[in-house]
Amino acid sequence: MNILEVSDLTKIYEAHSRKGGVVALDRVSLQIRAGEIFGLLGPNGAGKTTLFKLLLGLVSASSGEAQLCGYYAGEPLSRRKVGYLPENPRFPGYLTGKALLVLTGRLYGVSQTDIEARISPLLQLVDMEKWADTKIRKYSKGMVQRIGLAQSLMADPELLLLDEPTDGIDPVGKIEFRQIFLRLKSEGKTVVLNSHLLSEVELAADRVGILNRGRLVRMGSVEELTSKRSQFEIEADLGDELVDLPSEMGTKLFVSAQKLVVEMRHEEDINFVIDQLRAKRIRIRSVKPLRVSLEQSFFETVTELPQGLA
Amino acid sequence: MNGILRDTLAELIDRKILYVFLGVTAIAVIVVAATSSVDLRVQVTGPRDLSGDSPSFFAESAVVKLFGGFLSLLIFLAAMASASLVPNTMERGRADFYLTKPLSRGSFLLRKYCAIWLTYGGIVLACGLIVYLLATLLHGAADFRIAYLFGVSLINLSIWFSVIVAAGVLTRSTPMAIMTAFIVWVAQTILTGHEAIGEFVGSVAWKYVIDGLYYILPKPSALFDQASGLCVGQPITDWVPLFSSVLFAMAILFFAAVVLKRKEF
Repeated sequence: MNILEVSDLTKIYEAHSRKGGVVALDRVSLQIRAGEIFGLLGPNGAGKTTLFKLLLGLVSASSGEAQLCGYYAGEPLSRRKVGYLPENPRFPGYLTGKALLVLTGRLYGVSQTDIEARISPLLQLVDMEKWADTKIRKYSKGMVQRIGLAQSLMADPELLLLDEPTDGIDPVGKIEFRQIFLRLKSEGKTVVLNSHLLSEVELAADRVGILNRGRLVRMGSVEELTSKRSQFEIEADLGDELVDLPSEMGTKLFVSAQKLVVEMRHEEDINFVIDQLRAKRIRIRSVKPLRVSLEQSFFETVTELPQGLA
Repeated sequence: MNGILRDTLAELIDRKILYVFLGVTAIAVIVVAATSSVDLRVQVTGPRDLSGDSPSFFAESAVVKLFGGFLSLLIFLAAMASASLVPNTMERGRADFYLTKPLSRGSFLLRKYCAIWLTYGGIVLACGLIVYLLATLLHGAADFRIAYLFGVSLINLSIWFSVIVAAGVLTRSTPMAIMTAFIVWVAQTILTGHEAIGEFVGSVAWKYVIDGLYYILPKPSALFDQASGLCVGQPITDWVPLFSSVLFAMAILFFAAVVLKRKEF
């Protein structure tokens, strides 16, 4: 079941200006399933925050539509089961952390009993019990993010939209946040992470979407995005044996007595190489597709794909 | 409503606005305590009326004038103090917090407006009551007709808050909200004499413009004069100030809600 569906969503800022406006989102379509962690990646200005703002009704779409929890984005009811942590939040500084949670609960229409029942566990979850009665204006950036995460959970949301949630958080805190995301997932909640920190997304997300210049240029599981499908590393007792690889099938990238790295034009042609090795009675220890880090995949996507798409 | 009301109250307490109201009230209390009944009569009604010793003397003479002035000062303070509330809410990062909750923007604005009115109205009433009760205890019998002044103070607050909330939504700027309220105040004061101004300008077209502005703009000063009149037994003969002011407040709030709905954050 999809908890979030976006269809051909386009946002053009200052659409009526002489210059034709700025395209922040360009026909973005995506579906996010209930209970998954989805990472939204993209360079600055890619349109990640604009997508969140469209979903939450902070800005209106130029065209296309989106649905959250079965309601059209922009309708107040669509936000009833959505928690949101904005990028650079500016929560009322005159409130204490605890008062912010109470206010959030009230704005969501949560009953007083539930508000009281939720505050303590949430403060504990984000490790802010000690600072619950301190005014937010005295919080560090990391503490604001922590209380921000707590307030996003106050209405017991089904969908969480977190914009740069670990911004300003120390390394230990980042690990704690990741554990919280995974825990939320185990509770059946859907988390959409908008982050610059690729390693964070790589470790937590089930699927990733890469936005660049307003377009969703890649989407898939972390495994799909990090595997170089056409490159294979074969560990085998090659010795001095030569392996022939016709150029129309692919090229040998690296050859040693123990290892062979090939890039095939078609993935299935790897069988040709394996058949050759078997025919020569060479012991094959492993054949594995080569993986790249999400960072490398992201870099390649945002530096190459847009030109190809243009 | 409960959440936004408490939020508004928390902001008010944090900004120490209460101290200003308490300070002004303390000065008023000292003035009332240090003034004798006779002094009040001399200042306001003149020596010829000194022989009159009506039981409702307090409401009929000095208190109505002085107390009306005190309430006007409180309203002025409330309007100035509340001018930043809506622009603060519209700040980047802060608006993201308030406007992403399951409330329509119109509903949010109305709740915010009511919260401001209840919070500051409560303070104005409390400060006014303290001074009035002390004045009646020290100088004479209470007259419940003074309630007209309290009532019109709350109406005037609702008018000024509608101007300030609307200007806050439109401009997201505290100085602009204050200036707008000031301009409306100056305009409504000048337009009190719209008939005389109309005769002075001569042109029929301009006369229509001036009359039109008079009927459109709110008339808090005229309302206060009418309430003062009610306190001393003068009936209301012209309902235009009340109706036009309430209509203006409602219209400008509706306009602000429409603008807020279309704004992007």
